[in-house]
Amino acid sequence: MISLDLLSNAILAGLLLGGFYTAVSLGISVAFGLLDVVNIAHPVFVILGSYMAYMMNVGYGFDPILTGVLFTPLFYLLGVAVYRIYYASFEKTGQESLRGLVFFFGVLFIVEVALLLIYGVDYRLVEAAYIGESFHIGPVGIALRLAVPFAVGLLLTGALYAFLARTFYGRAIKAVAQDSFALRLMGADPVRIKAVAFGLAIATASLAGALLIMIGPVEPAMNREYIGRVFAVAVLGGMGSIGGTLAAGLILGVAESITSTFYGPSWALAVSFGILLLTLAVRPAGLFGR
Amino acid sequence: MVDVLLDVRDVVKRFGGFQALSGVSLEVRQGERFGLIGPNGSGKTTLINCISGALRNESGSIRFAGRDITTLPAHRRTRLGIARSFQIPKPFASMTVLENLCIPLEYAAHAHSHGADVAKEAMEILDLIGLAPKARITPSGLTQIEMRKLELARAMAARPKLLISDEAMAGLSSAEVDDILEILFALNARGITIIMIEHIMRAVMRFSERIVVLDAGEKIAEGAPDTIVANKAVEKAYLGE
Amino acid sequence: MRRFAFLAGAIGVIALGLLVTRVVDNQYYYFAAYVVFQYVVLATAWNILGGYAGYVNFGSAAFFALGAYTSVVLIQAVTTHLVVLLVAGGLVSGLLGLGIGYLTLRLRGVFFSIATLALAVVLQTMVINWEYVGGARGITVSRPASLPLFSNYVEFLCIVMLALAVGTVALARWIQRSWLGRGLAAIRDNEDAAECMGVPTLRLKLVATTVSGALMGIAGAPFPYYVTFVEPSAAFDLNYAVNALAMPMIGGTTTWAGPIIGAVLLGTAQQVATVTISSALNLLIVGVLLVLFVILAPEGIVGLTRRLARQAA
Repeated sequence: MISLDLLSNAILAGLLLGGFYTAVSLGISVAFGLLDVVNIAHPVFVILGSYMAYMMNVGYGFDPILTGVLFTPLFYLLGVAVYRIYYASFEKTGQESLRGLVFFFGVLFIVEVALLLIYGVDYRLVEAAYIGESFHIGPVGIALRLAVPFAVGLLLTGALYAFLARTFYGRAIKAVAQDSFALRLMGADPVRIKAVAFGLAIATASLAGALLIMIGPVEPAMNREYIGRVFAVAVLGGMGSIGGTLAAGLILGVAESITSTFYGPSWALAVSFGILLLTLAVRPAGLFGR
Repeated sequence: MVDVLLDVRDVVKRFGGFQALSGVSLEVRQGERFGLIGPNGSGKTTLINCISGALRNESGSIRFAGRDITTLPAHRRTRLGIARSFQIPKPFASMTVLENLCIPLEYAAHAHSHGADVAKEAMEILDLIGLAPKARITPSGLTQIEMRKLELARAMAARPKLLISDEAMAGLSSAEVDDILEILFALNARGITIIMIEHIMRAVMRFSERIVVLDAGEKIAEGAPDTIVANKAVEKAYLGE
Repeated sequence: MRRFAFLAGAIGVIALGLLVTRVVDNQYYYFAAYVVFQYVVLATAWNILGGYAGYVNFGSAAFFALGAYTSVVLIQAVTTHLVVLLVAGGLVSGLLGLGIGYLTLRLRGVFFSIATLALAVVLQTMVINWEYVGGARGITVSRPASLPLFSNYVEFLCIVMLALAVGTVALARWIQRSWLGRGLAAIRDNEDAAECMGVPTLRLKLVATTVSGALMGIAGAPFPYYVTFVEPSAAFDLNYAVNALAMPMIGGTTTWAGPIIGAVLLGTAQQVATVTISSALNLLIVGVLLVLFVILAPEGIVGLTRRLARQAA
């Protein structure tokens, strides 16, 4: 007999976690979903964001979310730079499948090992007034360290959705995904637009990383755990669909939470792997895919 | 009684919400020169992809030499005798022109005897098509028309019963078009059934014994070249009202 | 290289190895050489799928570690015979390769690669939670008694790994020059065209994945005897994932010689460097080299030398 209490707590925690998973996966949704760039290094940029939050928190007492927001422009520029290198080296020559993948793996590797060299293998965490607290809605207790990332994650998702739907650049990004030739005919430079899009994707990693280190301690190797998760969310949600990414993030969060509660936390990672494979086998276009 | 080599019935192909083929049927007879035309986006290449097995149709059936091949993977259909060239040439860039032909010879023509002396056969095909001097270089050193010839040569190397030529002449000069046309006529004379997809009308009209016209995923006309030319529906499809 | 010349070279190399064990006493060389030979196997195995067919495996550590842990299980439960361990390691990792391939190779190549990444993480988590093989703490394994020809077991293991390296290279060379290799090259160059030319692409990819995985498992099988203390962080070390990839990419992916060059150069350099610099810095350098090569010299050292030779001619 499954305890209803345990189950409802698991679902709630899963939803909160899911909102965060969405925030982490937004970058992949844009880069892989819209631009077809297989950026497996995205999670390591998120971890980089976590370490930036840590550094500013320990050094200057900055709130992690503040750091996340402050560093967003820097991450944007980093993203544009990485894309320009990627485009010049691989996309232009049509080598993106093998070499582009290896390139991003190299980038992942370099960032992870650099973080290891600078910060070591120990887990790092941040201190903020609200992290240890929780609030109550009726009989249910909700930890702020989960609720705040959930809320901020939703805000970030909403902001990105609005940007893609309402602004010129946003619509151009969605257009370049569908027909870059037509875009060129209209006078817009597809490469420039793709660079902006990729820059945005990496920019989200700054805030996502800040949220990650709020939820729990962080160490460099964690990025590889998230690769399965973010691609599972992006594929399940349907490539490039922000709304789909949100739905998929919540589903993954709940699935992991339930698995963790009833079968132990070590199986949680296998869940994202399983969801990815299942989606690819049954409905590769995802829930909301084109 | 002439045999029907390819029997396509009510083929439907969808891409997400878009229906590319809405129940297309046609028959190609053994030894025939068959033309497939239609405006851009009418579904010609999609139909060819379904016939060759690069795509799976949602419904309808495809029979080849009396056998139902609807669910067979592409490489099996090639071994049974269907070969196609690609509209945008897809050569094997790391191999020489000769080696490019060895692949279909080894895998399609001599499917289960990998020891066969394919290099000699490959050279013969290259001689026939006029690419022999280029045998030892990689495709990056070929001109436009040579690339198209290589595409055709590869399809020939599969020793097909049915060869589908997908816009092999696009963008070529008049003399080059005649060059390709000659090759296709020669192949047909050896008994190979040929489906030609082309936009170059004089080539299609000269070459085809029968023509099928597609528009927006449907067959709108079928018949000998002179009846197609006179067909009002065909004119409307190409030129509008 | 003519078949006879290769065979002679192969036997010569092993004979040389045996000779060295008679002469050299410093154990350090054997420990270091073992690692280099191991990388020759891993790099060559990776290249059969990555270089020949164009499908990138990021989870080499998973296949390697699976071979190692299969040995741990067998050593504890059934037998300590090295031959059995090698065969079992190969079988189990080969099956893993087949399984992952079957699940993902019908899709785009990137999904295979992502699956291998996720696989490594999942497998490591499972091993960490399995007490029978020591869990996170690790497990101690004792080396068997040495064989008559060798002064100690490590020297014997070193020669075994050398023989495995030679065998793996011979297999890779055979594949490359055979119909299988030509089919894989067609898949790598243009999979759609290959399929339409009669190449059974799915079947060949599954063969390559299985063979590649099996060889990595065989490389991992003697690992417990080499280290005597097996823990997940060592078996699943990031080293294996990046080196199995970087060595062929830097050496050259289109031929059987590339991985050897990459493994010997990088492997030896790393063995030397670990004495002077931290292993993390070591890895960082490998990562930077990988990125530089993939951007600037994608055809690797083999490709570079060919280009230089052509220009000189």
